[in-house]
Order: sequence, then structure tokens, then C-alpha cells
Amino acid sequence: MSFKDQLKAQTHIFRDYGMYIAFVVIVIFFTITTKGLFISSRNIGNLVNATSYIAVLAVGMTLVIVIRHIDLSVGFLAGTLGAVAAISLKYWLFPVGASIPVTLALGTVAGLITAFLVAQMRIPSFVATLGGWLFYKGTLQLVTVSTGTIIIENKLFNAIGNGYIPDIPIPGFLPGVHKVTLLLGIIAIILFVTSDINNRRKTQAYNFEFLPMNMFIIKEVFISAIIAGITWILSGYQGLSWAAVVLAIVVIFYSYITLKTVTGRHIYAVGGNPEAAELNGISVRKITYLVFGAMGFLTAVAGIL
Amino acid sequence: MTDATPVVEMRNIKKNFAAVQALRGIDLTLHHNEVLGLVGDNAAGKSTLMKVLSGAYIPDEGEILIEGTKVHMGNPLDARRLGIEMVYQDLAIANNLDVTANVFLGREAVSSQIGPFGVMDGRLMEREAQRLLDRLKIDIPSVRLLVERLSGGQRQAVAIARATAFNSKVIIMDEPTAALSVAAISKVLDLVRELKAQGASIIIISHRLEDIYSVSDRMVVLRHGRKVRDTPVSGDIDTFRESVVAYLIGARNDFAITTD
Repeated sequence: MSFKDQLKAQTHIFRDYGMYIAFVVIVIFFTITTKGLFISSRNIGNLVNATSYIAVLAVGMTLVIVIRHIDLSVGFLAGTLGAVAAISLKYWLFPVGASIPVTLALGTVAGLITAFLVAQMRIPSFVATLGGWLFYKGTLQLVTVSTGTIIIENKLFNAIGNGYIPDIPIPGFLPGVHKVTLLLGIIAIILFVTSDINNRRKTQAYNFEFLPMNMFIIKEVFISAIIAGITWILSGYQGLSWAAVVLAIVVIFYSYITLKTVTGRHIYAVGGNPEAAELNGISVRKITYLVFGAMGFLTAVAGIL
Repeated sequence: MTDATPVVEMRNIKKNFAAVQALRGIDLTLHHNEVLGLVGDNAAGKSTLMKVLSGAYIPDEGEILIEGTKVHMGNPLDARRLGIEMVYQDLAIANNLDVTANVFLGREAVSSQIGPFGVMDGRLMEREAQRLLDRLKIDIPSVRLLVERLSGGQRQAVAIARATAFNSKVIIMDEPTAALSVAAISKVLDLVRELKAQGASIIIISHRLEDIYSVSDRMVVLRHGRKVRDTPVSGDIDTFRESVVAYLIGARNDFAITTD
């Protein structure tokens, strides 16, 4: 079998990794059109910092879409919750340790209210969350009417939204490069490759189909190179922001839940065929509450960022 | 076979939907390792009767005995716990999941528990699913295939495999051959024979009298919510079909005396 034939047999891999390929194309395109400015450490660092709250929302929204619903209200809900967090810090003089849990709890409650409308009242999620969108838009204006833009002096709170993780200065070694970020990137690559090799070995032991060795190596090198590249670029500016750390935790936690646990499997089953899920003893209502509740929680996280 | 306790015994089952009497007192027995064909015209009560047996409906009157013990089933999970599995006409399969995930849907094997989340034992489930397909001689290239990429017959096979996966006592199949190609139908019927050879007790609902004739040991005909015929399947196909049709359209009734 020639390499070309093997490539053909693995076309589903290209389908699976289509998003990554599109991502690379976008990066290359903007790097060329901005004469390399796009890929500079400063720009990527700011970009990651500025968009991490959208990424957090996207993680939650993925599951909402998986179970055949939509949540239009998250944008203004995130804004409202962010404002609530800010007001509680500045005017109610909450400590950060109280303000954040309160905001997260409010977000979860908001999500559960949406779930109630969708699962219990059987209102189509599009309609229910369109109502939510208007409601939270109004709420945001109401809570900020007397204050306008709220400037928070609390260092800890600001750090979560805009700060960067600390660095250990080593004199003479790689000046201007964020060492901790670099170290984390290396750890991430090692963890990824070892777990993938382990996985492959176990799969082989069970006599299931697995990637041919050359494709496997290409995949490992490709993904490692991407992680290494992103790490190197980020460490050239101020390193990893706290927002990116929060995002990474959210992504890792969610992918584990959806891929490896019974709960995740049930979420996908409800999305694939709600009637079948119900007949097999999966409560569609419970899953709806769980997914919208989690969406509300993540909206609060996004609001704080 | 009659001296042994039947695996299922339904006595005088009645079920009304508002003014409609869907079931007007039906007795039905299923013996061990028997394939029972259930036929009847539309609205004769076949599906309603099977939904009563699988716990989806609660009967207004009558009792159900599983292996001689009287049981009460409030929902499909109760029935499943008693070993009654139903293969639904509309399949009840999640197309976006793979074969393994569908076989184990709602009964995933858990390797450990982290807080409220059960961690699935993916490899164990894959191996068991593969073993199940091999045992039933189901021809599906990989248990990792998404169900949406399978043919109609293969999907039906997955649905049947799921029903047999957990030591079920009774497997109910609602129109397993509807909407299948001729080749797929013969495969599904082979699967039914294979299950019987392995000791399963099966109730099969079908509009296709040929299918009933080719796999069933015994046959029950329903009409207007009553049983009109209960007989072993024998003779050649033409006389079989002719006599069944006579009962289906109401020209004959073996239980006419019991009418109110």
C-alpha cells in the first residue's frame, strides 16, 4: 500500500481534524496580511486574554447545542453577572472570596431557570432564551444605571481577568522569556504524548483498530508542534494569563466529562435521540437541567473574566 | 412444554383510552424458549398489549406473571429489571453514537466513580459489544462505527443485540422487519432463529405473515382488542396464510363464547 492509499484510507482523520487545519490556515493568512504582526507575542498574548471569556462560553454552548437547544441569553447574562460581581466588590464591599462564589451561584441559578422553562414548561429554548436575552439586557442597564463603568481597584479580582501568572526569574537564562509558561507547555506536551502512547498500547492489546505507526507519529509531532509554538509565542510576551489558565481548566474538565463519563455519554445520547434515551432510562429532563445549569455557571465564569 | 411454568403469563388484560377499549380482556402465555408470533390488523391491540408487557402502559385490569410470580410494572425500567426487553419499531437508537455506546446505552460499565461522575470503562464495553455481535453472528465491521453509518438491517441488529445483552428473559420485537430490504429481512429472521437456538423467549409482532410463519412456534391473532386465535404454527404457508386472514378480518373466532 502506497503512502497515498494510506492517506486516502485515513480521510476521516482529516474530517476529525478539519477545525485544526482551518485554524492553521487562518493564522497563516492573517500573519501574511499583517506582515507578521499577527503572530507576534504581544498580539497573541492580548488575543488569548481578550477572547478567553468567549471560549469559556463556547465550551458550555457546545453541550447546549449537543442536546438540541440554544442559549441566546448568555451574552447579556455574562455582562450582568460581571456587573454584579463588580458592584458587590465596590459598593457592597464583599471580599473577593465571597463575590466570586456568589456570582457563580447566581449564574447557576440563572441557568437552572432557563432549564426550568425549557424542560418543565416545554418552551422552545430559542424563545425562552430570547426572553432571557431581553431580560438580562434590561437587568444590565438597571444595575449599571447609577454607576456607569465600574472601575475595580481589587488587585486579586483584576488579576483573574487581566493578570498573568508569575514568573521565576533566572538571571542570564533566556532573558525576556516567560519561563513558567515554557515549563507548563513542556509538561503539557509530555503529558499528551505519554497518555496517547499509553492509550495506543492498550488499544493494541485489545486487538482493536488503531492508527498505523507513521500516521500516529505525524499526529503526535503535529499536535506537539502546535502546543510548542503557542507556548513559545505566549512566553515571549508576559506569559500565560490567568484567564487562559481558567480556560484550560474548563476545557480539560469538560472534555473529560463528555468523553469519559457516563454523564457525558448520556448528554450525547439525549442529543442523538431523546426518545431513545428516555426509553433506555436516561432522564432527558435531568440532562437538560444539568447542561443549562453548567451553561449558567460558565456564563458566570465568563462574566468574571 | 405446557407442564413447565410459562415465562410470561398475562391474564385478562384490559386497557382503555378514554372511551376506546384497546384491550378487552386478553390472556397470553409465552413458554420458555418459544417464539410467539403476534398478528392483528391495525388497531387490534398488538402494540398496546406489548407496551403493557414492557411497562410503558399500566393495564386497567388483569395481572401479569413472570415465571409464575405476580409482578407490577410502573415503567419500562421495572420491566427491564425483570428481564423484559423491547425492541421498538422506531428503533430507539442514538445515531450520533457508536455501536458500543448504543448497546450499553443507559447501562454503561463504570470503572471508577469521581464524585457524581461515573468514569466509563470504554475498553471493557467495546470488548463485550464485539463479543455480543460475534455470538449473534451479526455482521458489522467495527463496534466503533457510528450507527448513522450502518444500514437499516444493521441498525435493527444493533437494537436486537442491545435487547439481548443483559440476560433478558423475554425479548419483544415490534415490527422488526418493517422498512427493511429483502436481504436485511432474512438476516433479521436469521438473528431471531439464532436467539431461539441460544435459548431466548421471544414475542414478535409483524404484519408480514411469511415472517411469522418462518420463525414462530406459536401464533396469536388479535382483533378489536380480543384474542381470536391461539395455535401452533404448522402446515404449509398458503393454508396458514388463508386461515390467519380469516381470523384477521373477523370471519372466524375461536374464542367467540367469551364475548360479552
